[in-house]
Amino acid sequence: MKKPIMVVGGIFLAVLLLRLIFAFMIPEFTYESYFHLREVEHIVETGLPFYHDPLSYGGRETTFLPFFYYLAAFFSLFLPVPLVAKILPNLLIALLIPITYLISKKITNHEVGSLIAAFIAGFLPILFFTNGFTVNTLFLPLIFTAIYLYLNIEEEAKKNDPKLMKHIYLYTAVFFLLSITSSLAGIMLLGLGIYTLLSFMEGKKIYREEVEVILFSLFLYLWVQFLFFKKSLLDEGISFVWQNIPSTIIAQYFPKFSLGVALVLVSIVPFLAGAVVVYRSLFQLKNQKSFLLISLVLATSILTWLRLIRFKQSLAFFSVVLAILFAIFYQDIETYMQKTKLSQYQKYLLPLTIFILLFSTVLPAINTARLQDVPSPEEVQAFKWLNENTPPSTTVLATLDEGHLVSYYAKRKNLMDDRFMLVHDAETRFQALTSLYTTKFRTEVLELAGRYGIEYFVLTPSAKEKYKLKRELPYVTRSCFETLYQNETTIFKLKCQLGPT
Amino acid sequence: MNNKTSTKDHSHLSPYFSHILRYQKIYLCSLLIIFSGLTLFSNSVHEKPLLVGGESYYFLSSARTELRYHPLTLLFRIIPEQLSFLLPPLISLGTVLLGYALARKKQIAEKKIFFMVLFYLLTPTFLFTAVSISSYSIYLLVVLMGANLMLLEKKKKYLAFIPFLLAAAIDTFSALLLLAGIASYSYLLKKSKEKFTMILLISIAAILIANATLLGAPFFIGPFLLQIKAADFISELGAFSGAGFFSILLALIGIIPNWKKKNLLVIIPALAISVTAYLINTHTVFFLSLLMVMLAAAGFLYLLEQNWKLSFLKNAVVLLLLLGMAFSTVSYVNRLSDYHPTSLDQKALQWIERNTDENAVVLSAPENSYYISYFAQRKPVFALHKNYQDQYDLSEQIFKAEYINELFPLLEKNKVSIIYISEEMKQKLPSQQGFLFLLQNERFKLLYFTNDAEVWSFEAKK
Repeated sequence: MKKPIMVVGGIFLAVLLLRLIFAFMIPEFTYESYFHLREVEHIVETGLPFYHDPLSYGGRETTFLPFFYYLAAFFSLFLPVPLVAKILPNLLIALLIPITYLISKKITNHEVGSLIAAFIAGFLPILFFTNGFTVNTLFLPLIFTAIYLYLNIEEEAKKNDPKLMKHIYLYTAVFFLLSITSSLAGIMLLGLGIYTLLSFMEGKKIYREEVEVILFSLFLYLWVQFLFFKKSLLDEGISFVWQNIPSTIIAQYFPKFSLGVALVLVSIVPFLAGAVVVYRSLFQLKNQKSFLLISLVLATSILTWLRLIRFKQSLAFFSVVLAILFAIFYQDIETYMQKTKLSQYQKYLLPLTIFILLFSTVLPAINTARLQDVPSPEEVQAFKWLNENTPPSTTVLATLDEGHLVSYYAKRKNLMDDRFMLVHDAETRFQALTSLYTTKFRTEVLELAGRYGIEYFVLTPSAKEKYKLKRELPYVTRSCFETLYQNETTIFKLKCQLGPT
Repeated sequence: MNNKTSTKDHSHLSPYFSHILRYQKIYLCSLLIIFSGLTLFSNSVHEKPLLVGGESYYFLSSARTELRYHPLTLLFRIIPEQLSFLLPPLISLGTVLLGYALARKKQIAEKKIFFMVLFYLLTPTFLFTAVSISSYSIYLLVVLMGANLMLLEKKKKYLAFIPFLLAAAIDTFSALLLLAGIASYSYLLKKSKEKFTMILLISIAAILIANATLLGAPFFIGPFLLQIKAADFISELGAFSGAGFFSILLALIGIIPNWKKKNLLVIIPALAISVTAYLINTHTVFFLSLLMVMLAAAGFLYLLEQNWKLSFLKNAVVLLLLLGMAFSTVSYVNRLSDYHPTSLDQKALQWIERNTDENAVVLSAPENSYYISYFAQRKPVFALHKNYQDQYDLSEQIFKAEYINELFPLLEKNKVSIIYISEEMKQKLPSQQGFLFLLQNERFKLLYFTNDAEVWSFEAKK
């Protein structure tokens, strides 16, 4: 009994250590992390979330579910915020290892298979963005904990086990936290809905306790979402579900399914194994134990297909489910080998699996961590320079990704960033942003800069690469722009404006 | 009024709930008066016109100008305009009381009627009709009146003809609905062979035909707003009609007990008709919402009366549902006080009435047309209720025109001489391009402005 716990603990510590090494090796965070950093810092200072942001989009209302920020703010009482932002997400993602082990064990009751599943969950390339300080890092362990507790409720309802109430209380608490962490908790509800339907079709009994838990989860989730997103729903109507993302970049956030990308990010072995398990469970074995996980896979696929969740978020969830399904696959292979003449080679199965996983999962994961999309130290330096050398109420032009760097490091207003909800003119601002980096006409630049009050223009190497600019912005001339900062990144100050016609 | 609606034993219920059930008529009628009173009071404090919504002003201005027969226009020729704001709350109150009377006659369980009336009062469609004149709410009132009279003794039931024939005069769709309702109740449910039913059905059919052919009644009355089919049914998506998410979910759950009672033969056709009508004309969301209210009440009772294994989850679910519906209602009532017409609309339109030629044609957002007819007493360019699609297309062409050579022929063709830009139009239309940008042309002249509302003139080509 102690041995598997030690193995899981060992994998957990190794993964956490490796993740932290990468997190500290790369000094900066991924671009979107800076929004979350500001929110946590604000909660630490004031105790309240930043629902009116004076810098984003030049000042706007914003809304989000607060639990992740409060959790990080709690740890920030003992450690500095940037340190919490390095350690906490990696710790939370590493927690997926014991959770995956527990779920796999519950489904298969197969020790080795469950340990391998835990190992895969620890090294999933899609989860190896070690410098990301995002809500997803809390959402994933919470949702899989809720799934584990639900599986316990299902089992105990069947046996009329007295432990049932304990798991129900735990489940309600975890689901409540999940609901105030991320709207993606809806995946769980859709999954439970599909699970009920699948069970009904396959004649699997759904216990009364399960139905009651599902109903409670549904109403709790809806209530929490209404409470927090009432204004967004009223303002944006049905397009609220697409988070008000400008139509021109919606394809970037919800790209069409790409098998190649999925294979790389989810890792090829669990992906293929998962496909086999889903096929066999649904069409050959009618394996009811994996119904819930298969339902969750179907729910994620439907939501991704409808462009209701972002591709990378769905892949992250999908990949952990596939890791769990790998335990069933391993168990099936082992059983198959025992029935055939291959049984003499069974002792090689585990080393062979680990060997394959090392190449197909661990190496891509390390590669993902190495190649994370983060701003360079020099770019960060330029944004810090803006903070020290420009008046506080100015607006700075930077790319969409760099919007949060303007608010975090420069502490100046940005033209826009990637938080589109409750912004009425996100589409027009995005067009203006694109024009300001691509146009050749100075009059257009002056008109747009005047409209949005932009005084400083930042051109980073990332922006040059994104807009395929060979040297500088084509409309920059000495008469109208003053170069204030020149390194790899250049900062210009706009000197002229459009006169009356 | 008999406040104690029941003498039944409520001992199995909590004392609070038993008390509420016993005095439900008083509580629910008070709730209705509070909701409509609050909105009317808020309108009065903000110096807004007391009645809201295009339909209210369509009927008020029709009573002044149009001769066409309609029960509501006739009514407004009798009652003074100053008292018109009292009509919607009185209609709602009458509907609730008649609903109770019918429930007593049909022996509908007290708990069921309580939740039906409660959800009716909390549903945006019906909250809206408590402060706006709605032909469908009048329809519901007279139908309930007719149903109550129909259940009376021998000769008295003939009194039901009056409300039923009035109901048949609203529009063709509601008359057909009434015909179908009475026919299915009498022949399918009651297996009646009475002469009364036959005469009633023939009379309704006669009114329907006469109304449609001789008086030119529309198939559907309305819409009086631009339709957004995806959102008009769910009030939380920004609509001022429809039902809340929680009611809709409860209505889905409400299908289960009806399924068990084999009521699906009634529910499925009713749902099919109301959904189809809604998809054709979102103004009929009234009927769909009514169905949702009934199903939601059944759903809520089903959840409440189930023997839950996890009783603490039952309490939590009931609490969440009540909180969800209450929040949704409070938020709606809050929004309702911002609904059009605003005091700015009223002032600007009354300025138009005093200062422009009485033959002037006024262009504004299509939903402002009925306020223009009433307050400015001028002809608006749009009349959404007449030919919705054409009117919608025209408004799109005008307000999305990028160049004057696209816009001017449209304005000239429609004889536009005055343009009213409301606060909402200024917020919604882009200022740097399109219609608002084109107002800089010399053929437009700013005549009047106050805060964010503007009145412009358009000079036709000489």
